[in-house]
Amino acid sequence: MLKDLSHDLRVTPSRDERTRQEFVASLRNHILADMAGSMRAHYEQRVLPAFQRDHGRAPVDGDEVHDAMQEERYFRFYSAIRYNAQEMVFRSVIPVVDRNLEDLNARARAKPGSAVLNPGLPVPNNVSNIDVHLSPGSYHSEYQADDVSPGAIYDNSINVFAFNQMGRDIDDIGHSFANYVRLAWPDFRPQRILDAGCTVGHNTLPWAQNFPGAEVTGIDVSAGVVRYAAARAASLGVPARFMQMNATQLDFPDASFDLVFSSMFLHELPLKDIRAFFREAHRVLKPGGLFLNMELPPNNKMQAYDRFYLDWDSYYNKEPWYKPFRDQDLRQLCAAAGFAADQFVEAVVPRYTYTPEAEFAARVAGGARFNDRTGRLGEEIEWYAFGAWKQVP
Amino acid sequence: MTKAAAARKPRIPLSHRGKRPRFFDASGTDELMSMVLELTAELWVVKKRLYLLERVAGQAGVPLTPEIEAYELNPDEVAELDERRRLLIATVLRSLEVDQAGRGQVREEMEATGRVA
Repeated sequence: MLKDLSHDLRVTPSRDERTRQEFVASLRNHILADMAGSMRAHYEQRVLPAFQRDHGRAPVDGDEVHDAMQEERYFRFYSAIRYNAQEMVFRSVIPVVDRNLEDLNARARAKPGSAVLNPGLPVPNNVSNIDVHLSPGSYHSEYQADDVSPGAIYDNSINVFAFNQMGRDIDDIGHSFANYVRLAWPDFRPQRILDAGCTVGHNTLPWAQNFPGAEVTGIDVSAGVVRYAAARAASLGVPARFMQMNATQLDFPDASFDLVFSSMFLHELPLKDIRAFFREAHRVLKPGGLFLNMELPPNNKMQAYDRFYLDWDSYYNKEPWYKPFRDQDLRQLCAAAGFAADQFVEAVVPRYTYTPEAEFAARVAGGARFNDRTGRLGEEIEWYAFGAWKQVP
Repeated sequence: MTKAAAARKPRIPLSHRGKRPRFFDASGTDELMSMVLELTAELWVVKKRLYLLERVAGQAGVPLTPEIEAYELNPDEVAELDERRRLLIATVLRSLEVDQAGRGQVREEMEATGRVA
């Protein structure tokens, strides 16, 4: 059963619409759990032996596995069904948002929260030129004055997309990372926190909730999601401000944050923008501050098949920067932005929402290990974290 | 089309921009895949609705099955069901149609094979 989002910007589907959303969520669970397992078996039993016969070796990277899988019928059905399921996520949500558009925008206007918009800010090409992950209108298209529908579409879509695996309000990543920081570094108490590429602020607010008194700011290039994020925060009564700003060119002074965070953000950026954001993160961090990103795990930590498996989105889901990001050496990427190589941080973070406090704390203390569930959405998923401390001179 | 449906046009596009990839060699298989999935989704919606209907009616002491068999639809109800059925068919067959970006796959194929300008 999918639940309504718990804040006042929720839109309530009819029973049939909710049933359709639940179907799509179940279909995605079937694809990512059952079908993914079968596809791996097809690979190991047929595709891999054939490749080894032809080449005298196993595939060395995701592209070679991808090429070898092209003729595999199961892969074609997996891909076709997964692609359609992605389209159906949005098709199950957009009519509900559309029908509630006036009311939704009225609710956001009545209690707008703290939003700082910058109408002159250009929407970057990586957002405007494609409908990112097959989302009609991408992250930014607006259909009314002061529209919050881009936020509503995103919020409600990921509620279906996540099939109850990413927290009550799709905020598990934020809670997991905030609690990881709290437990892993008990002496580090960030007072000023930035969440870059925050969309609807679902993973921004947990920082304010877990570090009471901290000043939390979320930024995004899309006015629609910034408005929505601010109104969503106001509805939930969590203090945070949201600003329309590009992470590659931050409008903040040097050394103004203790923590710069991002989640599910970097893999949608061209490499040059990732590099620019990392330099900006380094600039705005105070010495002793932490740069921390939740992301899909990098290819150099994975076997060829797992690389191929996670790169599916880059090939077929209108996320062209997903694989280029995952091909990077993250330690080098941080070092190129000014972070000292020995200050690099990497971790596997359990899901806070679904893990009892004592077990969560034990796993943080024990240094959770990278495994084949890391970054793969499902009941066993653990989040991948990386970043760096800004050295005290 | 019923008045209520005609009065409110959707504002937000349902289809993403850009070409859909082709996963199968045989022409039409990708579209059939979409049809099957949309049909299955709609079938599930109906099955759950019927399940609820039977239980709600039973709790209310209504002997539903004979009443349904004997029911006469009025013209407005006929028109509403006609529209709902049309929408169902359009959804199941959506992969064949011109999308928001302006070019459907059927047209692309026709253009590629020189059947239209």
